[in-house]
Amino acid sequence: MDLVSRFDNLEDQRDAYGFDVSQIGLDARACRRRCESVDANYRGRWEAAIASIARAGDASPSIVTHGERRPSGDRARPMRRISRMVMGTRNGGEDNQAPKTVNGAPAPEVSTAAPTVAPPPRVDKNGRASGSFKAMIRRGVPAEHRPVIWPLLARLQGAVAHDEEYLRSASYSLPRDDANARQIEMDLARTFPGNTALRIVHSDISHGDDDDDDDDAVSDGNGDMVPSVPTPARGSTAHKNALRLMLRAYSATHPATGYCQGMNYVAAFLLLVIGPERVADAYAVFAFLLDRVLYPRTYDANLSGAHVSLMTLGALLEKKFPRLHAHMSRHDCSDPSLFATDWFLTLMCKSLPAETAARVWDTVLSEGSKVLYRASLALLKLAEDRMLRGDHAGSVLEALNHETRDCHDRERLLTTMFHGIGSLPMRVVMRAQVKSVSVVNNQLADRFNRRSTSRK
Amino acid sequence: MEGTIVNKKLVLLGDMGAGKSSLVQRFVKGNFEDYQESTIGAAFLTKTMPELGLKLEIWDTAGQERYHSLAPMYYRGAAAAVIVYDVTSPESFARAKSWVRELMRQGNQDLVMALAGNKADLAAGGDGSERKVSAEESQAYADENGLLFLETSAKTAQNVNELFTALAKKMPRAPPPQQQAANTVQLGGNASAQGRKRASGCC
Ligand SMILES: Nc1nc2c(ncn2[C@@H]2O[C@H](COP(=O)(O)OP(=O)(O)OP(=O)(O)O)[C@@H](O)[C@H]2O)c(=O)[nH]1
Ligand SMILES: [Mg+2]
Repeated sequence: MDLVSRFDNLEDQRDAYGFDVSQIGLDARACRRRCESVDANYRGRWEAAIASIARAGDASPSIVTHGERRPSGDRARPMRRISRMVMGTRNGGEDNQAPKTVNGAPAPEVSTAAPTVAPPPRVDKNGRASGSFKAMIRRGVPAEHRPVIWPLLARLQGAVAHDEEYLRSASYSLPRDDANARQIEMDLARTFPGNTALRIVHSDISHGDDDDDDDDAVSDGNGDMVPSVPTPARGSTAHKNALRLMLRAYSATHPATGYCQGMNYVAAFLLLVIGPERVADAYAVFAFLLDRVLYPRTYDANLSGAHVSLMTLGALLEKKFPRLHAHMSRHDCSDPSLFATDWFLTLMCKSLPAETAARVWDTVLSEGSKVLYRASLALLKLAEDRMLRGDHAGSVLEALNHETRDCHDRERLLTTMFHGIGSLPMRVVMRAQVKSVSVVNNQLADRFNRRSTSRK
Repeated sequence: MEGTIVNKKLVLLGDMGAGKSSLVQRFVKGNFEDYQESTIGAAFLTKTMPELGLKLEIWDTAGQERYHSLAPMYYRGAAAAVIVYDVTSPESFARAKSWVRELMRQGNQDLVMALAGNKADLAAGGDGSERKVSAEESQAYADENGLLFLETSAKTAQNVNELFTALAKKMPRAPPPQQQAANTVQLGGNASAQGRKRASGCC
């Protein structure tokens, strides 16, 4: 709770995706350690799942559709298929209580480091989802399996697969003076600039800044002291080149949308998780998220889809947490565009700590965009007490900002998302969306008219 | 002491890459990054200026054109606005002018505005060949429209504190809280703002 100067004086530390976590507080540090050991408890289970996916004749490509496919209601079916495949026999399906799995798994080293943690059995209210692949994903895909599982989930739901050659030729097709291309170029260095894999290393400039210092520190003597998290290679241009390729290819193949800030973080995060050497896979997931998961026209010329999502969140906030909503209204800060714009435009990957965001994305990829509302509501709920103590817009929103930025306890967030905010039927979400659409359209038209008529 | 601090909202507007976030970072945290993250939506920071009895709630907005549709939410109820352009980019100056027009249209008489010609270090260095917008032109435009004008550099810190301090001093002095809430409502002037008025009336 106390945010003041409770830092370990540890040397440079990076999380699984190359983000600096050396400055986080002691509480957050403890949360990370605890969550890591929970993750490790599921590792054996995931290894078995991956093996059975591979055994099914590399099932992923066989289900891949290379043609366009509409994101229809039969989304659930391929998930059920993979669920059967992964969960295997009935035995596998029943083996769903987390503690049991721990016993069955080949003793993971990390779990001995924090033996106190017994992962809570996470069962739906009706106890049904517990044995499904969906439930397994809610418990978190281990970082080392995400490069396989994320593209698999996207492909199962009809993501279009393209090879790298296709991306290259699409990218080359952009005109030299293309405005989107210029903005992409400008943002390459401004996308997670603090990340190990994405930051610019001035190899030819030697003004001995911090960058150089910690590069040295990690490359020599220190090696064995660095924790066992996989650290992306430092200073490579691979990520930056792959990021450019993805953004240019998307912009070229979606001329009506082009490039919108926000996409850069989504693409970069996918590259950090999936790896630049699998840029085609990363792109498939990227296009899937943008074209099929996010509300249509989220990134268009006036972000109309994002406005719909934001207004929908506002309606859900009022419905779910009337007291908090009233408090925020009183301080004139209940409009979600004040605090949630980046939640929808970057799918929270810029807002949350990376390892937490990855957990949210696990479920977004398996369950769809509704999860983003759950995550948003969960963050609001987790911050509620502190927000209610705020006595003006600034302190209310600051409390929410802190909650989000410091949300290293991914177990707590996921538990709140799926068990702490009550039911959220798709019908309710859709009704709120439909209502928002017309309001947003009117507002945008209104603003446009005002702008164009007032050239006095 | 605590009781004398007044909250004021300040918004930064301007073209993508003009240096809004860098100016805020320089002012609030006192440093500069060669590569500043591009802003999505708006970033929100606060800075207390005890000597002026002020706490600034700073809204640092995203500059890409398509984020324009969000801007009214961020400048609504603001006491001050900084409109930033990049002295090496004429397009960013044109964009700054259109922001000024938009803000004037909002009809908030009390809004204090400043125009900041940022990246002055690039213009000052060597023969200054990178400069594309002259200080004279900007000064004339600012005078014409009653804006504060300063050339700034987030990199060297030139005029950054001066900019925010000058704005803070020019802000109308603290109205009582009720009156402040009423102001806010007037600015919105739409259905939801009416709802807010009722909400704030009841407490
Ligand atoms: N030389 C120089 N570079 C600057 C200055 N201010 C900002 N920059 C650089 O210009 C780039 C853009 O700066 P930002 O502060 O991110 O610009 P912004 O206006 O916030 O951009 P958006 O968030 O995209 O709207 C960064 O790489 C900064 O390092 C300055 O005063 N001098
Ligand atoms: Mg910015």
